[in-house]
Amino acid sequence: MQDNLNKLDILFRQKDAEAEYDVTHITDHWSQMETVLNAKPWSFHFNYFKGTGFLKTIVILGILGYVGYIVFRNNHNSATARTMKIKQSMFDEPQPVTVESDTVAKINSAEPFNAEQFKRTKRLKKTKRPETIRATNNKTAIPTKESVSYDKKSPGIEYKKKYIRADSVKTTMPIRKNPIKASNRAGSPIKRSKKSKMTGQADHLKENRSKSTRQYSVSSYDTLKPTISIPVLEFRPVVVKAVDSEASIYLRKIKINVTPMRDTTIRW
Amino acid sequence: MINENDIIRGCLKADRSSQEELYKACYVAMIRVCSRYSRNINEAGILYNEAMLKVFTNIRQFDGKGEFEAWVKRIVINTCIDNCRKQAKFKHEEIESLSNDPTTFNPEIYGILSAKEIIALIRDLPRNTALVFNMFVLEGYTHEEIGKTLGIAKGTSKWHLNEARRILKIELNKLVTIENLSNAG
Repeated sequence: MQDNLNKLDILFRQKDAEAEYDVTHITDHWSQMETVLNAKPWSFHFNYFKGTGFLKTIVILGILGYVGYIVFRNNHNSATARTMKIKQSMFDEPQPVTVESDTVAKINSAEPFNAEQFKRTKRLKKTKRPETIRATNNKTAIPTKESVSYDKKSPGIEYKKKYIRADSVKTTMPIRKNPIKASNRAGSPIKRSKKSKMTGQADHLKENRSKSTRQYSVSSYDTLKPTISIPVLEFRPVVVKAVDSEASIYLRKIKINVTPMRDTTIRW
Repeated sequence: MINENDIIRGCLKADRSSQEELYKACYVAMIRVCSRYSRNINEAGILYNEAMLKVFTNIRQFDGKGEFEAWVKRIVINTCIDNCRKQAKFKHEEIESLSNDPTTFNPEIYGILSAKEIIALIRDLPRNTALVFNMFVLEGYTHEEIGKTLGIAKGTSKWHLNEARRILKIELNKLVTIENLSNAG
């Protein structure tokens, strides 16, 4: 017991002991308590007690953060997978690419590619993004007599195409003079073996190219002027095959958009 | 009549009827404590419920050595003080010089006032001052303990007590005057 209580303190102590407090609300208070006890452990703070705004905020922020994390992780994973797929398709193995047929003139008119110089300038300048060129299956194609194309089933034969996409082919296609040997036709095992060799050094490419009469692929990206022959099939996108990453980079350097194709069924 | 031990055992098993028995058995004594620290009966009920929830969830910590009611009362008081401490904003300057109150105090003249009227005066005090007065006078804390519990200086606690006494004396005299006038009328 404290000694320094004065008379007023003692008076208040006595009156507090004498005072009768209102106990008529006991039933109401118990019903509130019962509600709290019956509630789920995580929810009673929300239902009853005051001063839990902080807790509520923390819980809501936690839920939002978790949802945001899940969304971010999914996006990140899909983006990474997409990037990896593109990288793999562009650099690891030859992939069919689509090139619009009117870009052939660009390819032919481009300066010869100097591999040594290209290696020295590893970082290419950021140039204006080239126009996206898409080879589409235009079913509204109209017949034109000016267009010339090839059919791979009849190699080396020049003829007028019956139907060709009038919207994309506007320039005269270069006519390949060299006949295609049977061994270089699509699906030929000989052609495949040669193509695989073409992914090596520039000298090999040159050597292979000299031996090969096939010109479906952009193979002359060394000191030779690139030539390309693009067979235009009926209502099919023009497809050339980029042999490796340097060829792809070269195509981009000369401002030709190279789009990896998902449809790998078109092979030469 | 249910034994206290049976009630505690039932509460350990989270038996709802035992919890209700304990709640109602402690209500009369504990709502008195809660009322000192609150402005009205609803606020007191909230404080009591908060304290009893702690009792129900932590009843395993009761070792059975002391009285169960004292253990419950300690939880109720601590809950009330914690609640007031959240709302109170103390000024932390040291107040050493306390003015001596020259007012003479004769408790006998307040006999005409009811206990309820007198206790109600505490609720009209400023919140911090009422808290210190309750802790010092009614709960029996020392100034050191109050300072440690509330995180304030000992001098600050003394100042609040002195301030409470000064205000209460004034208010008591007002009440007596009004009571006398009404009786005379």
